[in-house]
Order: sequence, then C-alpha cells, then structure tokens
Amino acid sequence: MKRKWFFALLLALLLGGCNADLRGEENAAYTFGVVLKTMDSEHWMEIRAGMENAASERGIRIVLQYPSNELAAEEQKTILRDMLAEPIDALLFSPCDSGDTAWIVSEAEPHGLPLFTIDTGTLDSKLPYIGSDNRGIGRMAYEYLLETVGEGGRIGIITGTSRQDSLSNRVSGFRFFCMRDRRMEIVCLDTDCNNYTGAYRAARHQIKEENVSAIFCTSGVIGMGAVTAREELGRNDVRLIAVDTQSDVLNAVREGRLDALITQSGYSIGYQAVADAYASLNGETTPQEHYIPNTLLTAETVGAFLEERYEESIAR
Amino acid sequence: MWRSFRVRILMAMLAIALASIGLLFGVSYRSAVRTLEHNYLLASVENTGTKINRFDEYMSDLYQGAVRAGVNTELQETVTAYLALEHPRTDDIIALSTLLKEFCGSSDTIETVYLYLPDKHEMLTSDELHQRRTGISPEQYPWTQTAAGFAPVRFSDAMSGSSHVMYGYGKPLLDKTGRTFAVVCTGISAQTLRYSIFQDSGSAYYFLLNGTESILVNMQLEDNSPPELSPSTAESLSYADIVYSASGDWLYVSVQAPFSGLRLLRLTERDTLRGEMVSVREQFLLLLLLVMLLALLLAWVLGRWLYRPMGSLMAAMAKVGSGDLSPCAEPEQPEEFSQLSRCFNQMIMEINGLIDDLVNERTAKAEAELKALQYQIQPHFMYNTLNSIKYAAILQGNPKIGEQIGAFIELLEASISKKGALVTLTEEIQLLESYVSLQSYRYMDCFTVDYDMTEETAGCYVPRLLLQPIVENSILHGMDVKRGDNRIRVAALVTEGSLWLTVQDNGKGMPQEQLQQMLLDSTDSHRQFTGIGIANIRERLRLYYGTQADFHVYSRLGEGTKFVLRLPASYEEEEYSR
Repeated sequence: MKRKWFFALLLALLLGGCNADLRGEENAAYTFGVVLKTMDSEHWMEIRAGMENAASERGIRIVLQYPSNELAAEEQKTILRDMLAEPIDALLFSPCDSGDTAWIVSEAEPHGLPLFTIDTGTLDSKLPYIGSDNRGIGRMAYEYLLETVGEGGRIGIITGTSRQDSLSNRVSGFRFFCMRDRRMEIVCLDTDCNNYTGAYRAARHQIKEENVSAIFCTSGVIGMGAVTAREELGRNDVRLIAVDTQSDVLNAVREGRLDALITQSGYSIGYQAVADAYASLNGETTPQEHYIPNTLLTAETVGAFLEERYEESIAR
Repeated sequence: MWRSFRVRILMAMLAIALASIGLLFGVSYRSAVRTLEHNYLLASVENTGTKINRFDEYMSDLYQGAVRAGVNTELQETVTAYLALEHPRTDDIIALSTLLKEFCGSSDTIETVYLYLPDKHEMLTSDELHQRRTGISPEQYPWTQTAAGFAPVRFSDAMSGSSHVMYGYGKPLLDKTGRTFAVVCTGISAQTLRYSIFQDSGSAYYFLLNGTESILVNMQLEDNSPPELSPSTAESLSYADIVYSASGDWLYVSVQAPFSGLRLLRLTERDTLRGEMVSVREQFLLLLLLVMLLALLLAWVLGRWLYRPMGSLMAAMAKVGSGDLSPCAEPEQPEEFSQLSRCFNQMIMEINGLIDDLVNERTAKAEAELKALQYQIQPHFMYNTLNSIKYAAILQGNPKIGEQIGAFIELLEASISKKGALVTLTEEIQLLESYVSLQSYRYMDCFTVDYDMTEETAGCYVPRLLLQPIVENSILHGMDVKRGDNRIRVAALVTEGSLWLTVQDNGKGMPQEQLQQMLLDSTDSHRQFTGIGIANIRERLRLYYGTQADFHVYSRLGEGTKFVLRLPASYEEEEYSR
C-alpha cells in the first residue's frame, strides 16, 4: 500500500501543475461603452485618463468613441447608435446635443442598458449625471464678480451652444443669483460662441459697445478670446472670469491676463463616472447627480494649484 | 558476478543515484517547459495585444472617417445633385470623386472612399483610375447593407478588375425622410494592414476572427483555418485567452480588440517553442546513458578494489577450512581489513594453541596409561613359573609359601588380566587385598588393614592401581614395625555424586618436606610393587577427571597420614576412560 502511495506521489510530482491555468488573466468584468464630445482638449483627455484608470482598477473594458468636435451632434448620434448595437454593459456619454437624448433612452430601455451622462447632462431625459455642478459654477462666478466689481456691475456673458446642458446651466446659475440679489446687471448675453474667434468678436463688442465691467466666459476657449479682446482694447478694468482646466487658460491666469478661472477636475469626473457605473451595476445605490467639486483660481492661487496638479499627475 | 553482495550493493546505489538524477531532471524539465511556455504566452498576449490595438486604431480611424462622411452636408448635397443628373458627365464624376478623396486626406488610414448609389446600382470611388462602375450588386459589397456597430466589414473590391480584400465601414446618407439614398464607405486594404502590422510575425500565425459570424480570416495564409480550432471554440474564447489545442500541438493566444470587437488569434506550434528544450532533453538522456556506462565501469573497478583485501581474507579462511591452520591472512589495507586479518591470524594461533594443548593432554594420558601398563611388569611366563613354584611348595609341604605365592599370582593375574584403564572399586580392593596379604607376610603381620565400604561404592569405576600405591606408601613409610598395632583403614563412600576414598594409617606420619617430595616425585624408585608414585596418582586423577577430582594428604608426625581422594561416582566404564 505504502508503495502505491509513493508512486502516486511521484506521479503527482511529475505531472503536478502541468496544465497551469493561464486563461482569463485579462478577462473583463464589464464592458462600458463611452461616447464623449470630443478629444481635442486637455479637459477631455483628463476625463479619458480618469475613466481608463478606474476601468483598469476594476477590470472593466472600455470602448471609447467621440466625434470630430463638440458640435458634431450628428456624428455623435451615429456613433451612439453604433455603440448601442455593441454588446456593452453600460453606456456613459457626454451629449453634444443635450436636447436630443430621449431616443437613446428609448433604445437602451428594452435591453435594460444603464445610461450615465458625464460632464454634460441631458435636457430631454433624466439620466444620472457625473460632473461639475454647473449652476454652482454660475454662482461661483457671480460671487467672484460681485466681490471684485461690486454692486451695480454691468455683466456680459459669452457662452457656447445652448444645446449643451453644461453651458446653459452655468449661465442660468449666474443669472439666477443676479436676479435674486439685483446687485449686478446682466447687460448682454452672447450665445453660440463656440470657438476662439466668435468669443473674441463677442467680447470686443461687449467691452467696446456695451461698456461692461466684467465678462463671464462659460468655457476656457471663450475666455481666451475675451482676453485677446481686452488686451487689444487696453481695458484692464474689465474683469474676466472663465471656466475650464487647460494649460493656456491656466497660464493666462498666472500671467494676470485672465482674472479668475473656475476649474473642474476632468480626471475626477472620468474616474467617478466609471466608479459610479460599476457600483450601480453591482447593485449599489449611486447619486442621481454626482458633483465633482470646482475650484476658483486667481493669480495668487494658481501657482499652488499647478504644483498640486503636477504632483497628482506624477502620482497617477 | 551479479549475484555477489558487493555488486548488488553497488548496483542498488547506482540505480538510486540515476533514478534520483532522472527524477530531478524530469521535474526540472517539466517545470522549465511550463515556465518557458508561461512566459512565452504572457509575452504573446502582450505582443498580440499590441498588434490588435494597432489594428483597432486603423479601424477606429476608418470608422470615424465613415461617420464624418455620413453626416457631411456637402457630400449629401453633391450626391443629391449627382443623382438628379440623368447622364452624368465625366466632370460630374470627377467632382464627386474628388470630394470623396478629400475624406481620404482627412486621415492617414483611409485608402479608398466608396460611394454606393442604390437607386442607380452605381459605385463611385476616390480612386482616380477607377472612379465609377455601374451594375453593382449590393451583395458584393456587404457594407451597403450593414448594420450598426463597430465591427469592420471585410469585402472584396473588384473595382479595378482584379479583386483584393478590404476592410471598411459603411455609413448611410439619409434624406429628410430618413431614406438611404447613398452609402459611403471608408476602406483600407488587407495588404496594407498585413504589411504594417503583421510583417514581423516570426514563426507565429495570426488569424482575425469575427466572433459573430465565425469567419476565420488568416492574415498570413489566406483562407486557411487555424488548425484544430472549431468556430465554437473560437467563439467561446474570452477577452484575452491562452489555450492549448485539443492535441496539445498548438498554443493559442487570443486577444479581442476593444473597439472593433474582432479577435486576433496567434498560433504557435509547441514544437517550435520546445525545440531547444527537446534538444536539451536529448542531450541529457545521452549524458545519462554515458554516466550510467561510466558508473557501471566504476562500480566494476570499485568492486574489485574493495574485494581485494576481502578476497585475501576469504582465501585464508578457505585454507583454514581445508585444514591448514597456519596463520596466513595477509594484513591488507585499509585499516579495517588489516585489523580483521590480524584478528583472524591471532584466532588461528589460539586455535593452534588449544589443539596443541589437547594433543598434549591426550598424549600425556596415553603415556600415563602406558606407564601404568609398563608398571604391570610381570609377563605371563612369570605368572606360570610362579604357579609351578606355588604347587611345588604345597607338594613339598610348605603351604604357607604356597599361599603367599598364590596371593602374589593373584595380584599378578589381576594386574595382567585387566586391560582397561578403569576397574570397579571391588576389583581394585581385591587387588589391594592380594597386595596386603603379601606385605602382611613380609612384615610379619605387624599391621592390619580394615576395609570400610558402602554398598553403592562397589560398582564405582576408579583408575586401576589407584589405592595400591597409597596403601604401599602407608606400609613402607608410615608403619612402625616395632609396634604390633599398625592399622590401615581403607574407606569408600558415595555422597552427592562423588566417591570419597580415604586411606588412613596410624603410623609415624611425615614431615612436611617428605610430604612435598612425595607429592612431586612421580617416579618413586623405592616402590616395591608397581613403582607408581603418589604424584602419578594425582596426575592421573587430573587427567581423567579434571577439576572434578581432588587429592589431599594430611599427615602429622607420630599420629599418621590420611589420604583423601574425591572423584566422580561413575558406574560406566566408558564415562571417563576417553
């Protein structure tokens, strides 16, 4: 008997672990479809990096697509339609047209596909949102301008397409506090200034013709257009505040060309969006609106912020 | 030779050593192969992942190009205008083709842009040489009817006359009612992908698998299926998989593209991978064989070397066994055998000593016997002569002389007739009585001899002429002829298996020096009858009985002498006669 055991042991030694299981080392737990607005700025690249890191930590496979620019709503629609045909477990998207998303909900519903919006919310449907509190951004801008310009300030607003929920919320947030306090006046509002040139023209007009004492630019690109206009007109008394977190705008703040900047952490938004979707798929309750905090930067605080940001990116 | 113990021991050790080496190698070999394969597979996953990701980047570019073209207003308007033309001119075709070419320019990936017009069954391309072709069947170009999704369409482009494989994405151009009036497709040739992605494939084979349709597309060997991989198995593969084929001859590494969803399968023949290991294994087996042969040779040489000292010892033992007791074992090295040889030789020497002792003892015994016989000096003719004299004395009227001669004859007769060395005590007493009768006559009856024997002593065997010399000693040395009360008492008693014989006289006794002299001198020249000394008696007792016999003499001047003999009470003549 002992001999049999000995041979069995010998055999086990020789054959043991021969068929080491190498399968499934990279098998994904879930596949998330992600459709962003574009990939032409640091903000979106940060969102992408945050999403990819969160996905890699959770073993999630990400299928990411985006149209050629933020306004290519039709392109994005085609991409979203194709994405819905893919075998995905959740769809995270940032609509180019916040008012044309109901069809996505109706197509996803029969398959029980969970939907999440990132950075930009929807207007015609109610979907979970992960991103900045855009109305809060409006309030932050209002409070900064009230403090710097003072009561009776003439405020101009330059914003992009009204089809994007994020921009319109920033404006409506600002407007709400203006109307409530009646301590400053919105004298002009330029919409659909989606690029640098449009913003420059609008700012030039507002400073020169409308004699505004401050301009609230709802994006970084708009802010840069306004900076150029102010410099050209030599009107440094006009306060400029913008929203975004990209190098050229941050540099403008550091150099004092832009008075203030409300930043949003693209990395945190992307990371949190994937984390929320993952938690939701695992049966956990996640907030309907998950706001990622924003920071107001001025020439005094931007240095510390840049250092912190650099260290964070190194740590990642 | 194989039956000898030393060879068995050596063979067993050899077998254990070789088995251990073999086992260790076997385990190490398997482990090495596993590690090699594991590392290779992990590297393969990475390599395959890189390739499929590059493929995916191409596909993503193509897709985005198609999406952009599908919603491009200028294209929609131009196509609408073109469709309105009943007979389009070359200029119109060139204009449309040029517009399509602009989409090629928007991305490095897009090689050709196709535009299919379903109403006209017409195909326009960005290729200047093959701008337009009519009578196109939509089945030939599956992207014309493609469903939504990110998977590219593999199709055969026959616009140039000869067909070549392309990968592409088709997107519809919709009018305001949502009707598809054209389908635009961005494409890249399989050949370009092959050269840019799969050129450095080494000995591995790559297959692109479209999971949903289970189409197996060999990027290197066109239309060859991956060996032993069924479509169902291919479908069951997950994101990044490593599997062995059913026969175990192939290693599969499969990585799925994140965007296009296609799966890239990398195949490697295990033999290619294991080639080096197999050669190592063969070398080892050869080495093992050589080691085995060398070990056998060494075992043989060592066996002989170890056996040499033992052989000498064994030869010496055989010699002793055959009867030659000369110490002949050579003191060989090593020390153990040298010691063994010395011990053996010493043992032989001791045996020789013992044998010599035994021989000497036997010789002494025989000599004593001979001496005893030699002392029976009277031959038959003396006996006959004396017998004649006895009768002459009686006839001449001297019966006393006749009686004495008769006793003397009896004594002689008793001496002569008994051949054996041992006689019963009765016979010994008879002999003694005859002797006493003669001496009594000689010494004018100045002494008396009393016999005190118990019954059980009568049959006890004692060495012949044991008591006579003692009694003679008492008569010659102890008796005082002037006295008339000389007494000699001979007693015999058996107690606890021992026969006690005592001869006691009340004579003069002996001084110590005389006593010592008597005990040491074996040849007493003063002996009248046998000449046997007291020392001889003691020696005979020792020879016959060893330590079982005792001999003591007690003497005191003026009081007499007492001889005490103790010997085993033996009733068998043969018991102590050998």
